[in-house]
Amino acid sequence: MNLQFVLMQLFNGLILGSLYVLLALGLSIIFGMLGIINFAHGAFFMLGAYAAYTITSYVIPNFWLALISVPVLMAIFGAFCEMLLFRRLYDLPPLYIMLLTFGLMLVLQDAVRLLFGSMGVPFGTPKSLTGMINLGFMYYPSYRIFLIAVTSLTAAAVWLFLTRTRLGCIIRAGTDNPRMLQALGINISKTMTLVVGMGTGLAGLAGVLAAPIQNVRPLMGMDLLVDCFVVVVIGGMGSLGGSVVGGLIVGQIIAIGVMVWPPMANTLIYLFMAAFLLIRPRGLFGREAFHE
Amino acid sequence: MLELEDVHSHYGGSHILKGITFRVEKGQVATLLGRNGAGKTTTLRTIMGLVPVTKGFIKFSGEDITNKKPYRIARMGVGYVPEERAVFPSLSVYENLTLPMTKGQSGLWSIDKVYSFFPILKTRGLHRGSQLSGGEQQMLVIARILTMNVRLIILDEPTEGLAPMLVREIAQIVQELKKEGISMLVVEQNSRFAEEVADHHFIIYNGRIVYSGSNSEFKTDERIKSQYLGV
Repeated sequence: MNLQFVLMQLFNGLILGSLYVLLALGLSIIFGMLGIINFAHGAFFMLGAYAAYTITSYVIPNFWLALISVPVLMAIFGAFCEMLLFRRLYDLPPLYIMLLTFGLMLVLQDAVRLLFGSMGVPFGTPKSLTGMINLGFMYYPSYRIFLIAVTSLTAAAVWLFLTRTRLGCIIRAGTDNPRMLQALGINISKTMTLVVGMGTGLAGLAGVLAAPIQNVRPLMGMDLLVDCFVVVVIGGMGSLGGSVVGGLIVGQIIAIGVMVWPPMANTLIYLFMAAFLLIRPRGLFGREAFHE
Repeated sequence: MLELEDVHSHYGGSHILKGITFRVEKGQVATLLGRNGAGKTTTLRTIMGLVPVTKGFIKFSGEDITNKKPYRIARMGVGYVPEERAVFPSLSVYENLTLPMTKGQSGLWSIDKVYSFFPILKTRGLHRGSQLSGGEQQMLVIARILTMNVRLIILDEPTEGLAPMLVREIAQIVQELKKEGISMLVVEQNSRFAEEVADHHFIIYNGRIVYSGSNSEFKTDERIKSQYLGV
């Protein structure tokens, strides 16, 4: 095992971590605001990849167009899901709405399977981003460098939005205590639509970005979603900073696992999570009083 | 200012309010007293629209607010401070203060005026809500609703868990806000605090109002206190 290989793996961990960050941020704001775990989040990610495939194969073969339009389309799709489905169940115990998202996941997966088959579809790297970049100490695929750049910029933009704008302030307050917001004159039903839309848009973006490097298949979101639960638990439920740090940590654990003992790579994150929770039950940045 | 007429409401399948009728006059501080489980908090939550009214009606400054959405009731000028205080821990003190939705007549309670009322909050402006002491949290949540230009403040046990010195400070704040023309409805367990700040008292027992009296009447009525409050 030489240094080149180790560095390469750490970069691959960063790629995986970046995708986790995009997904976990969405999961976290939805969890905070609606108080539910969105099981459909992985399906939203998968749908983003298929939307990109549809656009580049049947509409206009241009990756850049897909990169910009898919997150917007997915955000609109998510907002509709909130308005037409989730909203009807807010007055019931949270279990019902989680069951709904679970059902939504199955429906979306099977719908895609019906339309595109269960084998998956080919998705090439965009032409302008094929090839390698010389980083000085190693060569690395330029598309992957691009992916890291886009996710970093997106995460930074989301961060600025959440910390510097009034709407972001409302969303952060909502992850603390959504009911209290109403008593302060804030119409939270609009905020909830926005939050689900935003989270779904981020999942869609992750889907487009992942399409050229992962197999685009109906179940591609499943594995990633389960890993994302680990990310959110390690980062601290409902903590946005925790989603970012947790995502990067889990990405690296898998990358290191692949180097040391590949069959154990995925199991390693659960072991890490279990050990971590023994030391710090509320996760990295989670608050103690969050789960009463 | 606030008028409840035969208000009924249910919570978690049981009938909690069984016909509540009372009025809080403009500029008045009224307390709602009663033992645990009598329905005090449910009354406040029902006024705020957080628990649905199943019968009867609620009026605020002449307008029917029965079963309106909580955010609409808040925007009309009703400020609610729940028992758990509900400071947003991940927001700074300043963000907590500027969060409420103001509608119309803005500037009545500018952030500067709020800070001059609560100088401690100014020095803590950039701290997170989670870093405040219990007393500071109580001041923050009261200050926060002032920026909504409230006309009626609903306080749920504002003195709970506070040291005697802070209780006195909260009492002073209540008096000063009254001078500003704000009406208040306060749920209290601490009847000494209630006697110090209020003009009028109501006692709720088993979902009904069983006593209504001015502060001077209430102070001397030992019988009613021992019967319903166990003082």
